[in-house]
Amino acid sequence: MRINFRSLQNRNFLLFMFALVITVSAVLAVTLTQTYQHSSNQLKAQYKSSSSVLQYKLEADILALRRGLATASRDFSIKTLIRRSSTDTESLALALKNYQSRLKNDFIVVYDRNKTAITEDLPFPQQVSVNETTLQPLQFIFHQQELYAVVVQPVKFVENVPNPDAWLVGGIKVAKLLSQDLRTITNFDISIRYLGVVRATTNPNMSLTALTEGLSTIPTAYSRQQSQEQRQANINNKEVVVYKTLLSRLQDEPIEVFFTLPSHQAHLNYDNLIIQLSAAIVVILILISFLTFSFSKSIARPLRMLADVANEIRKGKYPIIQLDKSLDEVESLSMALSDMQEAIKNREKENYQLAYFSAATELPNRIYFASQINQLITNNPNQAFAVLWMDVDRFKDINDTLGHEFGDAVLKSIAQRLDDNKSESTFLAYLDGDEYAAIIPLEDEQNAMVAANQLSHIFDQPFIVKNVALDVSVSIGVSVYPTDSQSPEQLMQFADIALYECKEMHHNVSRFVAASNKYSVVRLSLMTELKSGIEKGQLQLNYQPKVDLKTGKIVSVESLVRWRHPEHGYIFPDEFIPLAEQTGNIRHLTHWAIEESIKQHLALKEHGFDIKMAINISAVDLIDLALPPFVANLLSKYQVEPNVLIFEVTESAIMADPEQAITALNMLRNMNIKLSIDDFGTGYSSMEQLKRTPVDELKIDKSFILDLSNNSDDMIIVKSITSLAHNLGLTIVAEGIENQETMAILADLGVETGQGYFMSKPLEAKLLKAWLMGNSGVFSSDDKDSKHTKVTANQ
Amino acid sequence: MHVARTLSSFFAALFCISFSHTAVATSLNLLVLTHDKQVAENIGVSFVPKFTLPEPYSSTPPQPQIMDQQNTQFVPHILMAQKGAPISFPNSDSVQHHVYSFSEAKTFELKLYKDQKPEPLPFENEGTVTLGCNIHDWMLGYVFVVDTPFFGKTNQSGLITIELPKGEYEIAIHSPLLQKTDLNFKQTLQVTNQGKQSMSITLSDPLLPGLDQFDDVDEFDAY
Repeated sequence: MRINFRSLQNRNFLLFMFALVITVSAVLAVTLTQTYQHSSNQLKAQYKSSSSVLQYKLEADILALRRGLATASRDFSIKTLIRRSSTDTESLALALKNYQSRLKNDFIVVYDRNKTAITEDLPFPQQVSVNETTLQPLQFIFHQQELYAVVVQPVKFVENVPNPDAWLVGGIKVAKLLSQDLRTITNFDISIRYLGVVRATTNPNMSLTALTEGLSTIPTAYSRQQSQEQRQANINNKEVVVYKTLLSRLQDEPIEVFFTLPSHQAHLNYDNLIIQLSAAIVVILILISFLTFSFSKSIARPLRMLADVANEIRKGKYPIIQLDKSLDEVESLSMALSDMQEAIKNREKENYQLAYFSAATELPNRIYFASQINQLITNNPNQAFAVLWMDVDRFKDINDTLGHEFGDAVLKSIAQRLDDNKSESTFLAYLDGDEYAAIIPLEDEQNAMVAANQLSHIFDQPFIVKNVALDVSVSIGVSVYPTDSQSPEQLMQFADIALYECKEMHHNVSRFVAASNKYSVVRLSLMTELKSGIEKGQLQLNYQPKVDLKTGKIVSVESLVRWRHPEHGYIFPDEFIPLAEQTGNIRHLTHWAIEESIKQHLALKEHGFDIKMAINISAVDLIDLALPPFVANLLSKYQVEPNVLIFEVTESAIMADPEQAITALNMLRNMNIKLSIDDFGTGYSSMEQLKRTPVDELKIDKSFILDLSNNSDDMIIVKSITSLAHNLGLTIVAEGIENQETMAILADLGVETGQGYFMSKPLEAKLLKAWLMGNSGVFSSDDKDSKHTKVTANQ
Repeated sequence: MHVARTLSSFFAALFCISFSHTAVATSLNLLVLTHDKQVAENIGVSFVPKFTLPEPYSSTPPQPQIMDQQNTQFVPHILMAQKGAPISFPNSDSVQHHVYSFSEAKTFELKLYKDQKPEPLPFENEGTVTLGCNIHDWMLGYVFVVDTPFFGKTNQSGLITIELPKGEYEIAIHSPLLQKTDLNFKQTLQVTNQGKQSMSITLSDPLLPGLDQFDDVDEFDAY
């Protein structure tokens, strides 16, 4: 089984076990050491007393011998026999034998006063001190491989003489002294070793050879000091505890005494203790194992629970956290987790707000709006609803005149009012800039316009923003589910298209009609591509010459934009200019066109053609007061006279915001740029307006010219306009001239300049140059008959 | 008390000698000092003539001596005797004694019952005879057998006064307390007819301890 050490429970358990084992081991070690010490001390004490017992016993035995010998030495018969020993040694020897058997010793030898043996051939023990006054308690001799304890007794024929007349030396085998009763008394086996060989022992069952061998591991010590060190030895393959002491010395060799005891006997209690302690430890280990296990579990269980909770949170759920109060740490962890969950909840809410609501108005944003439509369709496909796309009219003016801050406040107020007045089922959103949207569920599809109109009416009352009363109107585009589309994207797109329609038509509300959708998808996408198209050079200018009708001289060209789209091929200005005007992209286009025209003018000038460049300026450009400085910059940049440029402005562009338009036109006029009113006659400009407008030229709309030769009404109108213009000091340009007849009529009417396919269709820069070179800058109508036919056929 | 007795027997012996040689003898005063110049008491001194003794000395038999046993002690402790002199061992005690000697000069054994007066024993050989009693280990006596009728023991003052006929003598000293060189002490003495002559001997080595024990025994005896 593999233990997972990373589990808290296991680790905790192991830690406890480890600590326990360490503790128990330490206790065991101390106990055993102490016990061992104690038993060793006891053993030592026992050894000491045994040593004393031995000493006492030996001395007692020797004393007995000494007393016996002393008696013998005072025996008159013995004295007599000693005196006569020179003649009768036998009697003396026998008498001494008698004493020997009485005293139960092993020999008695007599020496004369010169220490010469009388009775036996036993050399007088040189090592034995014979000073009678300081007789040593224990003396030994070694004779014929036998160790004897000896007693030296002086013999004085007359007791009180100072010098002995002879010596009695009595000896007893040491082996005999180490009687078995010593073993019983001391509990030790006592052995005596001399010259490395054990000579005697109290243990009758032990052979001296075995003892000699067993004790050979304990070296002979020559030190006088008694060693009380406990040693170990092995005798007959049995462990024994050994104490050693020095009994005496003989000829400089120590006589050693060994006290031995079988180890198991010495430490019997010690072994038992180990068994008992071990048993106790095993029991404690088992108990503590259970305790630590349950303790570990009590920590691990709430932690696992919290881990589960954390997992739930990860999955996006918000489980209720049970506060586990069993442990402070766990409790604080649960609380922290709970707090964290709360914080996540709040942050999620904030994120949701950020993701799905607009910060400016606190209304749902486009994403939310789209998902809401989606959800409506998914949840209830049979429920009809209207998608409203709202745009604040002229919001840009508000922003420009009153500031963005004010504009934001207006947007907020609008959002507020929309929100206040909406029905409960209406879903409102703020899309971007000045656009809002709404989803209004419908009982009947026919009510879509009613609902939209209702919504537009809430703008009837002025908004009071920062103490300024402001009239705000909105344009509303409407698409309906499921009639118009069943896709949320399309519904929004269609509503947007309807909104464009609405703006174009100057209506408050317009419903999406399928027809207006024809190119709308393309058109909408074109707007996003226009700017990049300019940068990528997809757009080019074609130039349609304008001819002085009196001289035929080519005086100017009108720059006309062509878009060579990589996917859609040529796109005509009619298709994208209005959109560009609506989206504001027209500014980029205009700026580009002016610069291109100036470059073209310069290019033609190199070839000797001084051609003025007419450029169409939209209403948006007029409102944009950045145009005049931009143009001024260009003129200085290219070192071109301002009168090279003619800005053609449509009547409707001026009429959209006459005040602003006139301001801009004045600025341009002051810069000495020639201004022309384009498409004159199609708008609704008043004479008063015309009078105030600072222009130099009127360009009669081609609708009056195309059929001029056949239509008398057109003739009257053109005639009147020409007369009016001349009277106002303005020159006239006629466009749409398609035949020589028309050209001739116009020349007769006094129209200064003409433009049309009869002279030339719009030409690319290269072709224009070639065309000019071909006619040397002068148009001759005679040459143009065949060409005229060709051009018309091409239309 | 003991000293008094010893002295009385000494003077008795001296009296005998003086009676024998009245006209021709010179009185010798000999002082014996210990090695540290103290008077040495109870030291036996013998004067061995190196000439043939004239009459009446040559025909006079050796003086008999008495070694008494009183209060379980040999009395005197030191006895001087001329070679060949008979020594009697009376038992003045009321207890039995067993007097013996294993000395080379005289080996004997006398079982002395109470109030018994055995025959005197002749001491034929020169030398020291150590006397003991088998019954009473503490009893110790010495007999110094010398080959001259002229001998004596120093008194309390370390003095010997002796009448010696004119001639050359070899002086020897005798005591169980002597040791080492003093044991073989020999000195020659020339005695002239001056009537009075004196000399002194100083011992080379200290005396052995041991006299006291006899005093101890005296104490015991008095008990």
